[in-house]
Amino acid sequence: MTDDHGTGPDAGSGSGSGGGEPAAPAGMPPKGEASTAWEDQGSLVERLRSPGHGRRGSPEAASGAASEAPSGAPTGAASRGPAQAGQPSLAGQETSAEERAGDLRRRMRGPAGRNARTELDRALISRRADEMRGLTEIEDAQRIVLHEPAQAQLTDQGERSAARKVAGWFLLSAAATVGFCLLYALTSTRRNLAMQNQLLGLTLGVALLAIGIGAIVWVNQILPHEQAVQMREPLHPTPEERQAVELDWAKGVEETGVTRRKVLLGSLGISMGVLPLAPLFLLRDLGPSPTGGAGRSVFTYTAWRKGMRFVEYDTRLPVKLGDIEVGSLLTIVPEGHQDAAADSAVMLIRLRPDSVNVASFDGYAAKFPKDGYRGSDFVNAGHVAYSKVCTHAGCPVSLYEQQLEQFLCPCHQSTFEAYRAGRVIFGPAARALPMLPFYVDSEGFFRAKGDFPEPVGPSFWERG
Amino acid sequence: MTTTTTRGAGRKRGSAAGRAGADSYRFVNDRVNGTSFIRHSMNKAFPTHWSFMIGEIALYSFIIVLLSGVFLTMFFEPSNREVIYNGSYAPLHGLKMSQAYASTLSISFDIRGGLLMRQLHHWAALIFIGAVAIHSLRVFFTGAFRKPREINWLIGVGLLTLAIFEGFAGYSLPDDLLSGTGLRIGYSMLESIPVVGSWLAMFIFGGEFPGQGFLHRLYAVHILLLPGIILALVTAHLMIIWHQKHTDFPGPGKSEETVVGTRFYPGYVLKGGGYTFLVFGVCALLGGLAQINPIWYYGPFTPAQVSAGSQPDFYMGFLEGSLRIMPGWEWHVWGQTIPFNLLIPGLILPGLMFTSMALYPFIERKWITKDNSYHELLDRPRDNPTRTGIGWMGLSFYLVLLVAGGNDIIAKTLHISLYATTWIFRFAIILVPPIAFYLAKRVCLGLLSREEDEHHHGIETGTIKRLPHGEVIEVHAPVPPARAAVLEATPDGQPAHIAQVGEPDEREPAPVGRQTVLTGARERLSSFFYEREDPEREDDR
Repeated sequence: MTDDHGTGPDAGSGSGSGGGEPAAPAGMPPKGEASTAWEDQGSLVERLRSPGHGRRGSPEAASGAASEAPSGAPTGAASRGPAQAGQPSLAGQETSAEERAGDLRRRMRGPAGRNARTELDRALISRRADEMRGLTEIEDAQRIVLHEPAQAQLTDQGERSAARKVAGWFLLSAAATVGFCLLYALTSTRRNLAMQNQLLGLTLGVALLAIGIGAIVWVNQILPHEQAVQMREPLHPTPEERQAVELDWAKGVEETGVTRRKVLLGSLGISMGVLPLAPLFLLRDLGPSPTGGAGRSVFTYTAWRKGMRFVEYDTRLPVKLGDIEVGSLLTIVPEGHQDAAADSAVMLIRLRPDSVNVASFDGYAAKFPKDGYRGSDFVNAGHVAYSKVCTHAGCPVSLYEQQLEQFLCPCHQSTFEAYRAGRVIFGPAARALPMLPFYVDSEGFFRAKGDFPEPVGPSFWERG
Repeated sequence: MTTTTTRGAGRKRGSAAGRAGADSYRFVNDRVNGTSFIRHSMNKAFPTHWSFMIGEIALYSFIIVLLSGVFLTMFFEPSNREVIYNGSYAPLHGLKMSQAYASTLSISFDIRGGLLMRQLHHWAALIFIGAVAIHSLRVFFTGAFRKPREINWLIGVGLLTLAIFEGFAGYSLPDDLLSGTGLRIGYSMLESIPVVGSWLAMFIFGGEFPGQGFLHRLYAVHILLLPGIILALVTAHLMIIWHQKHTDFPGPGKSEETVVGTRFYPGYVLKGGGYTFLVFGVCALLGGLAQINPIWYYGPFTPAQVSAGSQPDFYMGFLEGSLRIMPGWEWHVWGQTIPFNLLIPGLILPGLMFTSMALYPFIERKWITKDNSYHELLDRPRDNPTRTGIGWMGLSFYLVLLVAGGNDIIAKTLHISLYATTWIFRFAIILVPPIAFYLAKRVCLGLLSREEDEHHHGIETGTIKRLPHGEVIEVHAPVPPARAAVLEATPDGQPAHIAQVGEPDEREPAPVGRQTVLTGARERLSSFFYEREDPEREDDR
């Protein structure tokens, strides 16, 4: 802001100040003319139509700046009169800009610091402009339209206090880091882990946050607030560039001979087409075949075999008639195959005798005529053995609502009726829970009559 | 000549550190000559707006996820091998568990700062995914995905998808009861795929669930494969935006041809560095003070158990919701089974969601607007009511699924039936998105028409004035220039077939002859997209 047109002694005569009416036509110069960029800021400022941008300081400040402006320096705001806008070169200003900056820095300490500081900005910027003239090949086409010193930066004292603030944050961070290290060194994990974790997190957090806050304060209070304007570069090629590339490409094609010798590309195509087979074959041993060589999918059977005893999942003790009270349930696995729980886990449940819907169990048995089971193979002395693997997504169905005699899968809330052959009454599951046929032997132990009559768990393509 | 002066001055003034810096700069520069690149980069202007910071948060949190992740790999053992626990967490003593779970316990209880790093890693990952998602919303609603930024939009959608997979892989690794259940659902999802499902599941898991040595594979994916791809995509994303330069909102001094902002050096570097540390600091505080994923409460994974009321990380919530509200549809045809109750909510629906997200810029540009011009200035959400409506439609669809993922908790908290909540969400998923579309579009149109008034008549002052001939009017103050610049930038909505925008050679050739069903639909879509009529305003006139 300081370097725009409202401040300089001849700004008012050059381009209309205050209102932001441009003398020069609005619009950015084309790329590559960066060398003249600094002269036509009047027009640029016009683009920044916000009220804060077109005006700078009080009249006193402006006149103060004018009185202190080095004479004969056609740079900065003073140079931006329309008469000089088009001047191609300002050779000879390099050294004076440098000197002026040093001079201004010295004068900054005085009461006129505020204005001098804007002068410094102007001097520095004009030096930048001078430098850019030596580097016209670089397509930056960039100008700083608004370059306002931060409030704290306006006076030496302000800057010092801002710097103290920043330093305070940085030192706080250092202290927190030291605290973190001390805590780490002095504590043992055996004692009060929660407290230790909280303190470590707190100190590390403060160490990191304080650096961040310090940096932000630094930016806000010391760095000048700027609005740099940069030209965007075109993101598409010119027709000439495109043609040149196309030509190069065509020449390359010609040189490789692929147009004359078809066999080159043909054979390359074959080799590249076949090559993916190698990694494909390499993938084969990632896992066994789902049929396991046995001709039937591994998902269709479990570890249960005829005569296997029911053992409790946690205690691994065989389960006897009378172990389960009415309305409660045990998780069962086949004896000797405790690790096969992923598909063989069973919920053995004892229903209220009056609630059992016998017909539904008969119906279930009738679905598998080949096995020759009857309803009483699935509900025996009020006990039923349901597969614990949900027929939806395979989660363990583990919530049993005793009053309703329903199972609820906690994953997606499929609900099955325990007294009615595991029928689905709600949720995304599409099939009833499979049941394990079983009997009670002469000693009172539960034993399987065979595997589940159908695949347990979620559906798959080959399930049928 | 000028440069010599500068160098001399630099040498005179520089401190020891400054000299070392200058020397190393010269060393590199004398060998690769990056002067033009460096200078170009230093002077690059970055527009400033709070919403542009969301993407930065994603970047910075990704850095801290990488750093904390490296720490965790030093101690974590991704093994399914069973061990008996005898570490310092007494309640689990003597329990059989996988080495993965045991080593996670050891990170949490036996390694100083280990729990902090674990929780920090988890929180930073959540922040990363959340920031990526919100950043993508910002890009969508401001139209920042338009030409020339479609490639970066595609990369962004890829990043969002990968980040979700990466997060899922990460929280599945400790092999606790919660994550094991998530893997079980993943296994079932693979199994449900027609024809190849059984093979895929067996190959990926190395056998029947829980599979042989699956955690090793998941680990390789989590710490090498996915982060590698994400890192590559992040790099590409940044290089492209660096090259294309950032978009900006309309305002005073802003134009399609320029970038207005802070230069990269020194302001942006310092500020960006500061924000990096702020994000780091917030992650560290969360990691220390906010407990997350306390796996020792869940216990080791066993296939026969599950914890009730369990919730996945938030980014998996929409999948959980879609699985929960799906009716139990399953087909048995020609001796094969097609489980739609898994396929639709678990694979087809998310597939469609992300695909439509990825394709949206192309649908809008190629099919609806035919707007082939470059867009460097952003739309405010209200500037394009139909797009904003579409965005809210998609967003509300996602949010309904997300909330449905917690239907059991909602039911419990509000004391309503679980089934009632499920039914509410089943209706909501169909009803809410169109309502959201309508409301969002109406709100945008309302805001626009108010701005139109403001633009043409100025701001109402509340001062009533009586004119000499008796008429009573309200005095309107002129709009301040900064505001006027925004108002003027509001696009004049015109259907694509009326107003062709862009340079003549960038335009698509005008459709020749042949009016087909497709072109008709396209024109209707285009008119719908640009439709700006507000029935109430019609009445006013």
